[in-house]
Amino acid sequence: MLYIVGDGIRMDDPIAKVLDDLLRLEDILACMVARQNMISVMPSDGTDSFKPEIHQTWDIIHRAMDDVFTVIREYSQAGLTEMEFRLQDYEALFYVFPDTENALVAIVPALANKGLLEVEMENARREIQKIMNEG
Amino acid sequence: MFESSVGMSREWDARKAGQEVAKSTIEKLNHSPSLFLLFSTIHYKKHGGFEEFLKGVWDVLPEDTPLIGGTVAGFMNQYGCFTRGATGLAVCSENIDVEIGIGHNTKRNPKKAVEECFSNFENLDDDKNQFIFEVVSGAVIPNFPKIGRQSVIKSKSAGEASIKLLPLISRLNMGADRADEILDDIVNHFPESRLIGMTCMDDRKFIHNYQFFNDEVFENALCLMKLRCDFNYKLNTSFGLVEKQGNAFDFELYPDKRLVKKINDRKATEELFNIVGIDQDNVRMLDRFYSQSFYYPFGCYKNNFIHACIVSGLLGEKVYFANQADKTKLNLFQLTGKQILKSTGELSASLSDDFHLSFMIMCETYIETLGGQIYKIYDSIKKRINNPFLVLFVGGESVYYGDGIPHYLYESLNSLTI
Repeated sequence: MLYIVGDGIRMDDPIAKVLDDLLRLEDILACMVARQNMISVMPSDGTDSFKPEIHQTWDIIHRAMDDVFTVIREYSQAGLTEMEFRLQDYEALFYVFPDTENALVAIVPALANKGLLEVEMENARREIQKIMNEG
Repeated sequence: MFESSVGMSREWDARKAGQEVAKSTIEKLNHSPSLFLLFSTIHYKKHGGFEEFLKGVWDVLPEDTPLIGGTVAGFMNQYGCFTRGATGLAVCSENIDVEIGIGHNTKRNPKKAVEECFSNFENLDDDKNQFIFEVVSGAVIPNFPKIGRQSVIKSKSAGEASIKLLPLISRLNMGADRADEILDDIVNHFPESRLIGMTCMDDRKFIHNYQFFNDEVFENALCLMKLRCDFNYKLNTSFGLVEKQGNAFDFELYPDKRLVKKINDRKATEELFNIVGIDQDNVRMLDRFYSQSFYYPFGCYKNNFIHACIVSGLLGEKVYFANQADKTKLNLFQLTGKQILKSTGELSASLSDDFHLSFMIMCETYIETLGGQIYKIYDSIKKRINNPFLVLFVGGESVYYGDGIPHYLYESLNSLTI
C-alpha cells in the first residue's frame, strides 16, 4: 500500500485552505481529499493539524478508509455520492466528487450532530469542486 | 419606499465577522436601515466572544439602528446554507415605526420577563397592522447538583431526586425554555397583532445560547421588535411531521404540564419505549432513541396546527416534555425527510419576486435531518426568487395569526413574506 502524502501540494494550495477551514470546526477531528491508496490533499499542517484524540486510532481508520474506496471506485460512476462507516468511537464521512474516485473525507466523533456538520462538509465539497473545475 | 437586504460573514474572528456581516447587509441599501436582525452560530463564543462580535457590528452599523437577534443552529440565504457563520437582515422604510424591548430571566419567571420587556415600549397599542418579531432564549440541559448535566437519568432514585430539583433548575435559568408560556403572555397583551418568533440555540449541544439586543449580549433573555407598518405581508406555516397510525395515548401530567407521570396508566418511560418500539435491553437502540427522540414527538391538533410535545428528558420512570402539553390525549407523530421536502417544496412554490423579502423560521431538526441535502430546499427557493431571503434554523418556532390561538411549535416551517 502506497500513500503519497502532500505530494505536489504547496502550502498555499487553495484546497488545503478549504480543509484548514473545515478542520477548525470542533467536531471535525481530521479531514482530507483522498482516493484509494492515496491522500491527495491534506490540511496545510498535514496530520499535525488533526485533533490530538484521533492520532491513536488514525492508522486503523486510515486502513479501513482504503476498503471504502474500493466501493467508491466501483460505484462512483453509478452515482454514489456519500458513504460513511463507524469504527470504535469515530465515524468517517466520505463525500465523493461526482464522476471521480476522489472523496472529501472527514473523521468525526460517533456521537456528533452529523446533520449540522454535513452542511459544512457539503459546502467544502462544493468549494473544492469549484477549485478543481477552475484548475 | 421599502428596501431589504440580507448579508453574511464566514469569518472565524468574532470582530471581523461582526464588521463583515453588518457591512455586507447594509451596503446594498440606499437608505439607513430602519431595523437590523442579527443571527450567528455559536462558534464566535470560542473565537473572540459575542461582545466582540457585536462591537464589530456596531463598528459599521449606523448609531441608533434598532437591533435584536441571537444564536441559531444554522441559516440559509441567497448565498447558500451554513451551520457556521453570521447573517443579518436589514429593512428600511419610511412607513415603519420600530420599538424594541428586552426582558430577563425567561426560564425563572417568564411572566415577569414579558412584563419587563413591555415596560421598554412607549406605545402599547394593539392592532392588526402591528407585527412582532420575537427572540427567546432556548432550552439548556440542566446541570443537576451531584448528578451533572443530564437529560437522561436511568436510575429511578436519581430520577426522582432530579424531579425534586426541577423548580431549582428553573430558578437557575436552566431546563425548558418556557417559550410557550412567554408566547401566551405576549398574545394576551397583543391579541390583534401578528407575530413570528424563534428560540435561540447552539450547535445542538443545548449548553449555551445568546440573545442580541442593540450592543449587548444576554443569556436567558426575551427580545421583542414591534413594528407598526402599512405594507402587506403574508404568514404561512407548514409541518415536517406525519401522524403515525393508531389511537391517541392517555397522558397523566403533573401540574407543570411538562412532567409525565403515566402513559396509558403505565410507568411513563416504560410505556414510551413500548410505544416507539424500543427494546430497553438493546443499548444501541436506546442510544439511538436518546439522540433521536425529536423525530418521534407526541402531539395534538389546534386549529389544524400540529402542536408537538418533544421528549426532552427521561427522569427515571418519568418523561419530561420540552413544552407544556395542553391535552392529555396525544398522538404519536414522526418527522420524515420526505414530508420536510414536501412541505418546504409547497412553500417554495408560493414564493415569487413579487415579494420584496421572504423570511422563514424552520425547526433545527430539518437541517439535522437533511444534512447536506438541505441544498434541495435552497435550490427550490432559488428557482423561484432572486430577491433576498433568509431562513433560520432554530430550537422552537412561535407564530400568531391574530386569531386568538398562539402556536408554539416544533418541527415546523413558518414564513413571512413582504
